[in-house]
Amino acid sequence: LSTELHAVAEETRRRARDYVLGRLSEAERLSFEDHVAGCAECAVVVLEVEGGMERLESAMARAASAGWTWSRVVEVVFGPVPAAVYLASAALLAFVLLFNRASLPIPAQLVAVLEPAGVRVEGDALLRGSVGEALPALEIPAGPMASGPRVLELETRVDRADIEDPSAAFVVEVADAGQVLVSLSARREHFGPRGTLRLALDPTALPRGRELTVLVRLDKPGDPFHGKALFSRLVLLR
Amino acid sequence: VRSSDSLVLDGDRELARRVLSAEPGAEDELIRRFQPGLFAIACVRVGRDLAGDLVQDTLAAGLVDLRRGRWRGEGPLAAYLATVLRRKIGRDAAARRSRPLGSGEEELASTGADAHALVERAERRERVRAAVAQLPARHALVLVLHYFENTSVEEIAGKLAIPRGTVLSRLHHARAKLAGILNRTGAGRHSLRGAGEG
Repeated sequence: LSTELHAVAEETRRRARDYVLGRLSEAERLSFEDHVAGCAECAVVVLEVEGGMERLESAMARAASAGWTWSRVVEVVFGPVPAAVYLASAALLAFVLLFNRASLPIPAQLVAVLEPAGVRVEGDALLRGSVGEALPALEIPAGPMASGPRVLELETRVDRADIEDPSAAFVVEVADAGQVLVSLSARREHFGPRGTLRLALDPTALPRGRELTVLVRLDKPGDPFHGKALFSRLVLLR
Repeated sequence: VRSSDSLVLDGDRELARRVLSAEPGAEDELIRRFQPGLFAIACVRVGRDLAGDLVQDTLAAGLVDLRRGRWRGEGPLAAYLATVLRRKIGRDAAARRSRPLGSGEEELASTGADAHALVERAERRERVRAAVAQLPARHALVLVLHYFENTSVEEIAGKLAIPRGTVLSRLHHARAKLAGILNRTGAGRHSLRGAGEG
């Protein structure tokens, strides 16, 4: 009996899968729907399989937004493009990578930066412990691509001596209510001339519409401010 | 010996009689019996966001029909309600398509969702469904096992007797092919395939 029940369950699941994936003929589909309408057990199986469609869609959406997609950018800008445009894009990207390394952002585990300019973010005055007045959360609007990277230009104002110190490193964190969501390591080569740090965030990996804290901590064992924040600002991703 | 179909039909006729004579609890029973199945169908056809309202409308229409004796008991009540639901899905899709952009305020107030966004989501779902059907068999198989059967990569590898890396590679290629198909079919997104049938 157990084997028979198992076979029936398998057949139901297969049928539900074919239904959800649109593999049934018109007559089969109507017949299956007529049955499901009055069968709570099959309804549960159909909903379970339908959940697979949701998982697949989410995975597709993640895949589409995760990798930084030069082709996507080109596609957005130019629409359907010939292969030559892709080749030209690749050449341009290679040029940027080879000859413009110093201006590249901090190691972007999240996304590569394609936007030429980011949102300038001034921090609360936290330099080496002098805590100033907390600034209101800065709204970071969506860029040209709604789910594309958000580039923040953090005006850290970190002391040049700290930046240049070879024994010093910095940790850039994005936290939500104390929980660290992003943690990146930065060194002097990542800072701009005026202590600016370019931070590229993938908005799909972060909660939108919530106040997130962006921190730059000093990572310099032995220094009295080791582990302490030198820069802090609330931001809100739109 | 009577078939299970005729037993179901007898039960349906009895329920219809009770609804017609306004017996207490009869309408609740109808909702309890048919709501889950209708909801599952509506979820597949139009997505979860729109399903609830459509099923509610279907059950309300079904009750009115039963109270007025319009259902003649010639076929199962489930099939009758499924047909009502399909018609509603078709009409609803047509109405939403013909509604100009920006006229969804009423919808916003009643459901908290943007009508056009919901329609777009339903259309996107339909495109994914059609795209999966176009995948080569070996890619479709790992995709279905992984996402629809909730099977882990290791389990798929065991089931198909292939290395784990091959499963990962096929999953990757399946998603890439799917994305390619979706990009190609993106132009025809403003249609609700199949929703008006039946």
